[in-house]
Amino acid sequence: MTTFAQAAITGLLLGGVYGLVAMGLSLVFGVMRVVNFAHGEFVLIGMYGTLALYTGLHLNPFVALLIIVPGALLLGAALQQVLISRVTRTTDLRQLLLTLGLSLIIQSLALIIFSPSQRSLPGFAWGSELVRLGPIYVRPAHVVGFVIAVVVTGALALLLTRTDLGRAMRATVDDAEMAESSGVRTNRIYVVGMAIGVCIACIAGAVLITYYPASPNAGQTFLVIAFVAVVLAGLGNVVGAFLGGLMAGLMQQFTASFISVELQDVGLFALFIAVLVLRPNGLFSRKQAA
Amino acid sequence: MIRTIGKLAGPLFFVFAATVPLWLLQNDYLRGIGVRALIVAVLAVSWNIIGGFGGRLSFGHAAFFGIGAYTSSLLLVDHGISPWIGGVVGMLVAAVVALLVGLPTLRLRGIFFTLVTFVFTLILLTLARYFSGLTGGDVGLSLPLTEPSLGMMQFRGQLAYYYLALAVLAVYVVIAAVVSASSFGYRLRAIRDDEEVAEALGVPTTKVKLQGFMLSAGMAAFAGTLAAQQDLFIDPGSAFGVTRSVEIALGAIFGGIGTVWGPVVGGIALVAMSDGLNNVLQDVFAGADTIVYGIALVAVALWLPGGLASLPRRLGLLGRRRHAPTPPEASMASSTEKEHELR
Repeated sequence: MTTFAQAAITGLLLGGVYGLVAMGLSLVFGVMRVVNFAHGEFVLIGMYGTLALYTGLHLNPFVALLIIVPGALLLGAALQQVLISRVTRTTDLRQLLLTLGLSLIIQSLALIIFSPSQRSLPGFAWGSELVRLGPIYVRPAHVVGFVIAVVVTGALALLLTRTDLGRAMRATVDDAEMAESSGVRTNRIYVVGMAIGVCIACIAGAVLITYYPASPNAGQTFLVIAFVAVVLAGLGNVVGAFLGGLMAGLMQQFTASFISVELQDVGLFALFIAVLVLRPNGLFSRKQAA
Repeated sequence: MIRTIGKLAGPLFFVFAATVPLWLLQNDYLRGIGVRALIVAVLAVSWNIIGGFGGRLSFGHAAFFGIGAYTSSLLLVDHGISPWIGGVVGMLVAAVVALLVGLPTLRLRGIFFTLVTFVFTLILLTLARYFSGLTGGDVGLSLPLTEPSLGMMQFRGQLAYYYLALAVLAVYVVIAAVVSASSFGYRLRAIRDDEEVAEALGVPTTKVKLQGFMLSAGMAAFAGTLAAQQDLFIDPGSAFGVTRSVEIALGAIFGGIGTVWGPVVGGIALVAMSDGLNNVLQDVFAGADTIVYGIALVAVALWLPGGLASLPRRLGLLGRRRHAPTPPEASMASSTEKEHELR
């Protein structure tokens, strides 16, 4: 029972951050119909960016977010403006090639700049020390990360439902041409969508580095987890992707606790394929399989 | 006239390739790279059956490469069975796995197939690392040295591997050409161009896609056996790694997706480029091949979605359009638009 509660709590706390990564992926897919294979590498940029700020300027990683967030917004907008705009609304093939290519380039750059070894924040205890809460243990970094994830999710949900920008974005998600003809400047929406998507990924990266060591391949791990969460929620269901992330975290922790730590990702992937087979439009959708 | 040259170009390419070790790849190191290039070409031709003709992009063909490599290697290590038999068994296993993966996913929109192939290969990677008793885990699996013989697919020196890979490539190009010209090939392309119309015309779309995927997977598996025999070694990363999947798809796409010869040219060009750069930059940093793949992907996406095969037409070298199937880049656009509508 304690094992169960422990796995559930850890799964939820980790799942919140997975949810962040997944929301960014889902937003970009929803707005632009681009499956962004470079999304994991944006998480990686957040991780290494925070690492650099921590080692260089001795900034607390959660304070470093104040620099990471605007930087990431700029990066996302620039990428969309310069590169990705040239393939949005073309073929699936070109979008996949471009984002996959970007992901490999960022990975290689990380390898060159930060070496292939695993790097974590030296001397930062929040990620390793355990705090006892009754029969279970939690890590402070997990808790802070989860709180940040919930705040960002809430903010994004408010942005999407309560502001004109959000309404324009949702209109673009539903039907880009229709939105355009009703006066939405879709190209501007694409830039904003990409900026927010990259920004959320970098926030997740900044949180992750406090308890998960960065390595050039780490982005891939989170990309795959985000795929799982996004498919669980249904492609393009942005806030649902957060719930998908929570489920992914739970599944991973339960597999790790009750089957084997090495197989935790296999449990996750099995869930992914099962959902695709049984409910290809996601758990929260009422539509039938496409 | 042009068509006669076109018919002769195929055999001429293989005659030319057969002479390359005599004047260009003159030592074992270079010949080893040559073998690698041919194996990637073999894989690209295999990928192209479902990815190019069928328009279903697999980002996980390393799964079948790895299945082929591990099947023949394990049969050789544990039971002393010749890799020729092991390779054929590997092809069958890969085809069955393709059936199981394709059955639920090939009826969905194309992007789901891409995601599942990507994730499925990562599952195999994790499993291959976990069951280290069987596969040797990350340490890898070394194949036993035997007397060099064709029967055991083991030779000293790279020259024999070179001709073996070249022979396999020739067989695969013939298969691709036959598929391309057959009614099966036309059905695959019809599905790629417009699945609903194909269905309405009586093409059993899911069945045809499954057949294409199984054929593609089986063909890729034998390349795994070849690579394992060349290195006499196999490990999870090189068998099921993402880079391997990217290499396979990129070879075909870089050369010319959906054409018979594009994947051959693309696969060879890709390895030549990445190995060349790895050599030049090995003192500066490791892993230059990955960044080359990345840049090649971005370049193809931005400027050359038809691959190298579309260059002559783009540069206006072919005045008249030859009897050619629809350029895949154009047709894939239409299928995406349709998917967009369907949502």
